[in-house]
Amino acid sequence: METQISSLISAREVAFQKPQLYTDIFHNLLPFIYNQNTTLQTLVIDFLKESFVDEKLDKELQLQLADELLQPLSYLISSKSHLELPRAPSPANFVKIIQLTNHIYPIIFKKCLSSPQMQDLESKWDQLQSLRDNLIQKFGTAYPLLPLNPESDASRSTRSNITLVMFITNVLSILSIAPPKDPRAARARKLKNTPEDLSIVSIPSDHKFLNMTRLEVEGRQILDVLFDALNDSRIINSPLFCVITNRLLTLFKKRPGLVSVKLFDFMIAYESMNKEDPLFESNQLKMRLIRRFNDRILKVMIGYCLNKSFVKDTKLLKRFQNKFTYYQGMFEDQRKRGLLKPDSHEIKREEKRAEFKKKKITGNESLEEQLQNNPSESPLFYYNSSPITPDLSYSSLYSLISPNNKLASFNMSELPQNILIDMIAYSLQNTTTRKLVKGLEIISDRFQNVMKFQQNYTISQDQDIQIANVPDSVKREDDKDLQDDYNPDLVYELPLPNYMTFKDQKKQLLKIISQFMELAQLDYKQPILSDVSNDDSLNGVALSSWKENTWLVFLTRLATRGLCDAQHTNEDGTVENLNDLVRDAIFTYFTADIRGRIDVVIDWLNEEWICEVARNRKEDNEVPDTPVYNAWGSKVLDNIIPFMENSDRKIFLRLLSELPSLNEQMVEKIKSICLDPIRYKFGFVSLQFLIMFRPPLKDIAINLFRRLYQETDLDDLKAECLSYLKKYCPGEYT
Amino acid sequence: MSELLSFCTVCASNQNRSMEAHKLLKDAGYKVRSYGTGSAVRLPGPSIDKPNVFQFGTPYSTMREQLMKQDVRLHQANGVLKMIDRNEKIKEAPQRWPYIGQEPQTTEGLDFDIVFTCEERCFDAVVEDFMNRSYNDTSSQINRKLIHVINVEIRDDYDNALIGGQGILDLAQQLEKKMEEANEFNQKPDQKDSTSIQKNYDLFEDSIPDILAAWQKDHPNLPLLYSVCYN
Repeated sequence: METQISSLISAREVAFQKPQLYTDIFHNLLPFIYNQNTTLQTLVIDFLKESFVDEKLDKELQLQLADELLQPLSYLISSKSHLELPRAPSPANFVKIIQLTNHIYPIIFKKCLSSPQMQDLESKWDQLQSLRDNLIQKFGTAYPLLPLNPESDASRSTRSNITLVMFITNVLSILSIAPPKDPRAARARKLKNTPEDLSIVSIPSDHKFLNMTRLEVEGRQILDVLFDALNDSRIINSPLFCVITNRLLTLFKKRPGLVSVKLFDFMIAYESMNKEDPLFESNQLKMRLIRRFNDRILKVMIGYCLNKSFVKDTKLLKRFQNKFTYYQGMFEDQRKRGLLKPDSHEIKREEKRAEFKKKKITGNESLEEQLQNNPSESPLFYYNSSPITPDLSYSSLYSLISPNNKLASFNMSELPQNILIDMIAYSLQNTTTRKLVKGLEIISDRFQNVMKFQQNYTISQDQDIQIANVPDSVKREDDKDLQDDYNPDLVYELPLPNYMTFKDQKKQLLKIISQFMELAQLDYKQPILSDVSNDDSLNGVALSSWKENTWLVFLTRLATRGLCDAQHTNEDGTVENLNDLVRDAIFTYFTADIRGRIDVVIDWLNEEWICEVARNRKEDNEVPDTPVYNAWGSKVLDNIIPFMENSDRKIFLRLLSELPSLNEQMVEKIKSICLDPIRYKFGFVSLQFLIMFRPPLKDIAINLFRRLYQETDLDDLKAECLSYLKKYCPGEYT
Repeated sequence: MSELLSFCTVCASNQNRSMEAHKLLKDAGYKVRSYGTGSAVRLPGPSIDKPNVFQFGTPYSTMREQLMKQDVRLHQANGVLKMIDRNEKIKEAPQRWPYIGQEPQTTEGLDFDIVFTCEERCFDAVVEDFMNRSYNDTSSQINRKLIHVINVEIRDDYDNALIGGQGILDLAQQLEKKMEEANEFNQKPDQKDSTSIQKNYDLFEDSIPDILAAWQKDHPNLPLLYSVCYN
């Protein structure tokens, strides 16, 4: 490699010392552009720059060789990233590529004008246009650096963007109509050695492939690229603002008809304080300074235009003068206020932001409003939205934050698993579906890019991962045996899980139940995960946060839905249901504290009833039978009634009130309370409650009163029954 | 001597603020020049309406001789003689900014990277001059050197010149440090760096707004202006 480099350096020196050898050396060196070694590539690019841009090469030879640069230059900028071959050039080389293209553009244009019949010239012109468009597309991006997001990228790769602005304005001076030159000044121009003013005006109407009108339209479209950057709703970075405005002023001299109206309109209309800050930019002072710098540049420019009397129209002149005076006042205000204090516009912007944040916290804002008011809710969610990874690590693949963020260098894998799970769950809770999908799309794009360009990766001699087979290098497998066994054509299939017997299933289910029961014993002072009430389908689930009784939701859902088909018929013909294990567990939990856990049993039995009704619903919409609910409801009543005291009246009435369904057998169970000499009043109140508040049970309850009246021998009980019967069956009992 | 960045300091008379900054930058090992953008060098005279006016290019020694003929006590008390002593050790005479169209006072070109102006009207004059150069240049200009013009507003008295000069030195050091990083990065065009280039490296020009904002935060009484010009 070193020999090659030293040979290239010597060849370059000889080329400039002996011009007669230049063409041969040029043809020998040019293929090194296609070499993947960047040192060799850079040497050749430097050689070309010296020859053409620095004008070390004779003009005749430049004219002869210029079109041979088209293909190599197009090749150098054909890649979007280092993952592809060729790799994206270094920032310094990219600037040289622009300079070279800028230099050969007028040369080839001139060649097309003078020798249109030359073979392949039309295709060379097309190639040049394509190279031009490719470069212009890169304006306003971070190229050749990896993209992060469009807003931040606008202020990256500044040097490349500045050079692109110069290239664009030079192209524009060719793709526009040059004003007629004063023939009297021709001699002076010649004496001054003024460069020839090339323009589409020189294109003859019968030219084989150059069309003046079409090129003029292209020129106007290219001009819009610059004005779009200046008129963007976001504030443009000062270095770029300076160069664009300066270059437009220069273009104004050469092509007043092309830019004067747009440029003057822009100068009058530009208001830095109406421009928004770029997303993700939190340094207020920096943004304040950028506004100040841009305003000052415009002030100097307006002053320059006034001094040079560029503005002839009196109305426009007045507006220019007003704007100049306005800037003077503005800078005076800034001086008095001090730069660290925000101005009134900035305060208003801050208030708007604060109001939005408040709305967001209180949730009084629709999704549309959020999107409108908060740019971070726009499709641009992430600072690092690049579809290309800078390297082949997992962190690069998944990172969506700024590379300068300290979190980017934090090793998450060091955190305990339970904390990681909580963090992930919390993040998922607090994100919108749109945002989550966008993030996953970016990661998917990155992964696809890595896979797409995997053939570019090889392992270098020093084992640094540069170009490597992606799956191996991503996984960083060091085991040589594993690498030997690796067969990319083999499709790996997961082995089938072992069959579980019903006994095994029961065993596993009991383990699961016991884990939930452990959770039930925990003391929750506050929700572990906050409840987020977004208009978001992610939150349209039964559990949006982990609360005290969340375990019960899991278990009841498991019993009523998850395991509803898990049946097993034993050898003796009996049927066992796995979900009965869950019901038993809930029931046992309830019986341990029937007074304190009445909520549990109500929630569970409601869930049982609604699932059974939904599952067994008939076509005529009649409420179907609910045997499972009835069985467990009866069991609950059987177990609760013997322990109910007079003081438990409220609890029992609540149970009767909130159970979704009561049948005759269930109501019959209250009879035992009515027959109890100590608790009989409590029993009667319960029946009265059913008569009054559950009308479908009214007849059942009255019948029970009747039977009690007829069957009992106790006078007190009889009298009590009679009083209720007189009240609810006045015609029958008097 | 640092070779990475070369500086130029500019004030109205190339006497006090630009010369103090010139001295500090030179002592720190930087390549530096200084100019004045005014029409002449104005120094305090016997009364406020009778300043001492010299043409740019008048040697500092000649100025001292003339001032000594006036009131030595006054010029010692107002610090002018002290200032001239300092300036004499740096260069022979104050120089006018080489405006386009005017006869240059030196053969030196505008080959510096950073221009520090010390007053807003000096900044405007320098930026307008570069604008004028660009306007009158009919070449493609794509190979032109970028020059960053930064104004550090300093009041024109001896004490403030010291404070402002120190601020300019701080800023120059920060810019130099960033340039060092950028150069280190650019001088390794090998295979390995081709990957690191793609990492989100802050190039020199990309970092300037951040450097200026950080500096401004530390120097709230020295308001900044900034522009990119090319020569």
